Amino acid sequence: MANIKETVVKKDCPLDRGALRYIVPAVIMAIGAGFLIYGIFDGEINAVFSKAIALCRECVGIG
Amino acid sequence: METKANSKPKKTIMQVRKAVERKRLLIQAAFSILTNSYIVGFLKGTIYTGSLKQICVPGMNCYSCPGALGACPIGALQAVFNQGKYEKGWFDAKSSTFVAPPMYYFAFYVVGFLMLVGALCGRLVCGFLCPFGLIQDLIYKIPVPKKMKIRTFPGDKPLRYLKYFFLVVFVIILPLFYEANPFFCKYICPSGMLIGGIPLMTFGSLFGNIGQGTGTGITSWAEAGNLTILKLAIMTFLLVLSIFIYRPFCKYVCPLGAIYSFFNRISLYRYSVDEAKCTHCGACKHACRMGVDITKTPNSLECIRCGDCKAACPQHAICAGFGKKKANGANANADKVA
Ligand code: SF4
Ligand code: SF4
Ligand code: SF4
Repeated sequence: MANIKETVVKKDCPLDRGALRYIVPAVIMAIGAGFLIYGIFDGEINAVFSKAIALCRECVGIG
Repeated sequence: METKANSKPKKTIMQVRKAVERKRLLIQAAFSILTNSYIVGFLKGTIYTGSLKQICVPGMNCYSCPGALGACPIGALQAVFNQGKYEKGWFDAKSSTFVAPPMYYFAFYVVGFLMLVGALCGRLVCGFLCPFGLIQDLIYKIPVPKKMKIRTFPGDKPLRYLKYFFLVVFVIILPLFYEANPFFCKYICPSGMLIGGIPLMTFGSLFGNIGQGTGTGITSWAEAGNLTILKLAIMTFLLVLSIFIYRPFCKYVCPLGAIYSFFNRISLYRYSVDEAKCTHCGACKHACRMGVDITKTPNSLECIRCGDCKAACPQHAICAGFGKKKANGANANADKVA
């Protein structure tokens, strides 16, 4: 087997290929951000907050 | 010459693997401490009630932990599904209960958060940012004879689907349509028991219960019942199992890991194997404690992006990252460490 330094192929990582690799997560993140903002203004965030600040009896096993 | 070339990379790779593991542990610990740094909670046996609690944290971090600064996304999802439209409710004479239809059929805020995090990095959260993942990692370090560390067993693969069952039934269907109860938190989740229930109940028992003015614990072991026993049993079973099997909760139970797993294939952070360099030696598969063969499925649902395979590859054939990167970039350190 050759020395590891010589085995390094000077080539871009196959991760790089294709614009879709960036477009798909970007679109999902944009939709996610939209949902998140909608949830904040719709008041859903209050449901999360009120549950998170009162001790959740089910979580701790007494509910 | 040949021998020298063979022995050097071997030593190097072990060192790199150790360094990668140490670095990951440090990041896990730092993030877990950061998101659970409400020290007053630990000192007074209470929980944080400030405005940061509206924000979800990426990992399985119970909001009933005295130190928790944020909200657990799985708890939050169930809390939203549990919200009822009381003004449109009715009294059910049969069960003598008031029934309110769900207010939210879709949890925009929590799902939006999970989409954002998932599309950004998928299960990288599991590898680096989840406190319950860290706890299992630490327990797995408990030394037992090598033979007792179980890499796989008959039924391992089908059992991995169990987490999707918990997600669909316990986190979505039951809390949304059956009754206003966070079913996964109540009947399964060991995280709530371990970092919420045990510290709070113990504090309450030692220094006093809820009574105003005592300023101490908000619950105590006096309140323990059958549910406590069930949850303690599940927690103990999973924690003991973690000594022998790497991350059993993540592999078989966690609904949050199940959600992030769907993003592994499309997230910005991705793994990939350079076929031109890979000699199919199997070092990466051997290094993976989640049972993934990265050369076959670089973006497997089970991959927690821990980086062990990447550090173990003698050919530097595995690359990971958010974007453009030379394949030999990160692993170039392998040569420097030696
Ligand atoms: S599978 Fe669940 S518990 Fe495990 S690391 Fe991922 S989010 Fe945390
Ligand atoms: S360790 Fe590297 S060379 Fe060996 S099989 Fe895995 S990717 Fe291929
Ligand atoms: S495939 Fe690699 S990164 Fe994924 S879990 Fe296994 S060792 Fe970790």
